[in-house]
Amino acid sequence: MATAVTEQDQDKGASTRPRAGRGRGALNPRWFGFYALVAIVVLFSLLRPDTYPTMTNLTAILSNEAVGCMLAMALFVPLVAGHYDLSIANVLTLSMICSVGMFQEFQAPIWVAVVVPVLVGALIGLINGVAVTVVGINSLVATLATGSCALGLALWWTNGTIFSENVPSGFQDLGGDLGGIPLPAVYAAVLIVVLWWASERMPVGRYLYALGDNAEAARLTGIPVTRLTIGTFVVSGSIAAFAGVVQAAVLGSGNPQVGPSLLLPAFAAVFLGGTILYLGRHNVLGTVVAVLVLAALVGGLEQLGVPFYVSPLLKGVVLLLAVALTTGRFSKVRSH
Amino acid sequence: MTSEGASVVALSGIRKEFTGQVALDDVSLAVQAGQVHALVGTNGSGKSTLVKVLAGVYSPERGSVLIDGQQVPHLTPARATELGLRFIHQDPALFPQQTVRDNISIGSRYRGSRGVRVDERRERDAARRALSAIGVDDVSPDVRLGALSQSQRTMVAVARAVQDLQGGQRIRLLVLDEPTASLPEHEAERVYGVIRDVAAQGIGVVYISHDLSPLLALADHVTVLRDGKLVASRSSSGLDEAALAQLMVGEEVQRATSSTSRPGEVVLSCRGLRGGRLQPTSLEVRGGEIVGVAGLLGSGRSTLLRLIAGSQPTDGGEVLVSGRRVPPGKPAAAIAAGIAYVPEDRRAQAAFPNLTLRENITGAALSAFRGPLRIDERAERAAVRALLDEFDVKPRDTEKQFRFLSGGNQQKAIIARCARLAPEVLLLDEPTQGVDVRARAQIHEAIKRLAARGTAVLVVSSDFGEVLDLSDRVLVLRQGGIKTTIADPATAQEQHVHHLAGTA
Repeated sequence: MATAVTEQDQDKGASTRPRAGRGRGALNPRWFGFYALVAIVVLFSLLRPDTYPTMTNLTAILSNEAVGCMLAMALFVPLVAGHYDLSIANVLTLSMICSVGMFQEFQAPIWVAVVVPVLVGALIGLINGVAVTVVGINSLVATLATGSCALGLALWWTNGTIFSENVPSGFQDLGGDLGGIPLPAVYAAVLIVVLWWASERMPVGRYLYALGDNAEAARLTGIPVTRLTIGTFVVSGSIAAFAGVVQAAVLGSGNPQVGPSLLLPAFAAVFLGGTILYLGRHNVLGTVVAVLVLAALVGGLEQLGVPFYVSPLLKGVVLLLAVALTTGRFSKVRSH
Repeated sequence: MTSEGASVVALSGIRKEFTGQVALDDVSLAVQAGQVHALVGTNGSGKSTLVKVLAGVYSPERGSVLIDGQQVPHLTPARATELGLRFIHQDPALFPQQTVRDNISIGSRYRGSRGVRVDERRERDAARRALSAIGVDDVSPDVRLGALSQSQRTMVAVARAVQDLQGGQRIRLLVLDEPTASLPEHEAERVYGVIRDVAAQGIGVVYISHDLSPLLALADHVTVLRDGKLVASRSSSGLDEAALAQLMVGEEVQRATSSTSRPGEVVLSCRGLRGGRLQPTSLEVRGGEIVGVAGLLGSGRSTLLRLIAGSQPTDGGEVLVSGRRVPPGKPAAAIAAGIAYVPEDRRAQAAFPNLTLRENITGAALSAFRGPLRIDERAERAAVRALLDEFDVKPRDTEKQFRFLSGGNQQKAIIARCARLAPEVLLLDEPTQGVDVRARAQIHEAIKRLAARGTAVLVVSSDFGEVLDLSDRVLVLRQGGIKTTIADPATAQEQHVHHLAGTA
């Protein structure tokens, strides 16, 4: 209303002021996420010195979180360009089913069970991208719908059951470990490095951040908006599908119930990641730190005997706080 | 209309700091009932900060706010509303999809209705009363706001702000921040009329604008701020535009000198170009030539630039740059052909508010710094710093978030972005809209410098004086076609252009 002073109101007097209240060097809030991670690890190591700071626990956490981390990456890519992809969790589900289905129904070789689901994920991403750009559907709605379709397909094929027959041990080895390092964590690490470089060091990353900030300005400066947007959804779908293949390899089965519970943690990680390293900006390394913070926290609480239902509660609260700090009321306070 | 005696609202000795930087230093302001009080100053002079102190958004470090001579110790936005202080901002927070009636009633929290049901009839009556109280009778409360012209929307915003007069509440002050920034002159006139009506009801009006000549005609009293300090507070009589501009800037403002470059070959040519509002239009611009486009809102002036820049699909005709045909409707193709475009609406179409100044400037073309896999950020920073110096963008901080720059500096940065492309053709739509006199002169200089390098320049502005000052040749657009060409703008009268364009 007219009588309220809007925040967008350009304040010419204040606009040139230096960044107020921001700590310099080690006190800069951009490092707080790292400190939180260290503090959590130290705290639980003191509380549970026998079980928490162990190699076993570390590899367990890395192995468990690899899929979630990849899913967070899948969410991250279109989010940079300003679009939500809610279909990723169900794409992951469909991909698991496809992967194991290749063995159960067709006795296919292992490479087929890896490639086909990823192609399916890319196809769903393509549909998302076309729906958002060419057809002009809001990305929340479009991806909610395609995600529902993906889940529907998965349930149709499995008829609600779990696929687990004819899974060769070679496939399950893909979800195992190599010299003590869990392979899923290795895949996630490779993905993280590639996405980090692409988003921070390559021109395409610049274009995506520009696109997410002001799509019309991006179009007028000659950035290929449609192509890039579709590209982000294809990449997102492919990553989600690959995460599904990895999950299938870890479990040795395809379970249509697995995916949906992974969506919210991915959101929590990406938005919390936006408060780490680069304030108010989604970024790869911040997201990785956020995944680790959440994992270390939940893992520690579980060791203290806190009940299982704390985890979703905690992740919900973290998501709210993270969004408040990146885009909500408190973002200005922190980025000034 | 100036009345002697106690002021309705006064600020005295206000000091406001933002972590070490002084935004306001010992500034006083006294507004009488029924007075139109102009508040002027360049971007960053502290006008908006002062308004926010009045609105209770900022609490000053020193000084006091006085209402009817009584000190108000802790002014909050809610308290300011209660005391009858009303504010209309540049972007007046209207709802284009709703009716005029709803837009007005939202301001009164649907006082005419009960919580469970909106009483359409009473809200409509309230809206009509609020509109007619400020002399607006041609706006129906039932039309969608989006169907109204810009000036009518501004009037709806004013009606909403002062409607409590009908409810018996005393409105003491109405503050308008650049209410006519994007209006053509004859529409702005109507807003001025409304402002006079508001003042006639005994409300003090604080009016902020960069458009100095109508402001002088409208205001009774002028307060000038410069770098957060009070420079002058005096009656507007006997003050002319040049003197006021000098007070604002503090040094002699140089009137733009016309360009000295000699036009070269034809660089941009349009043949039978049409689309949107634009009828088939042909024109040619030579390298080094600045061609102005004068026309009213709706004359097709902005459409012309959008069609050439590829931001809007064409219905026919073609655009050639140095004889090569440019594929229509594709901004990327236009840029590849050497066409750079500064769009009309900086905030919506040009700025990346959350990215850095550096990223805003280099965003369009990274080719100079990119290897196949990475960007050479050091080279990028150096190039951006050179551009910031050349175009005098302040602050010289390449990593500053773009949204923290003032409007004039944002605009200079956008022009720097275009200059970096070394374009053959530069299109500018309202390049100095909402920009202070100093930035305006700098932007004019920058445009001339680019023309001197052999760029063909096409400038649209609703300020016909600016078009005449800047251009080597002026095209007058009317109802979607070129009505006439003014070959010698240096000697043409601004009034004459208004006549040709259809205003007077």
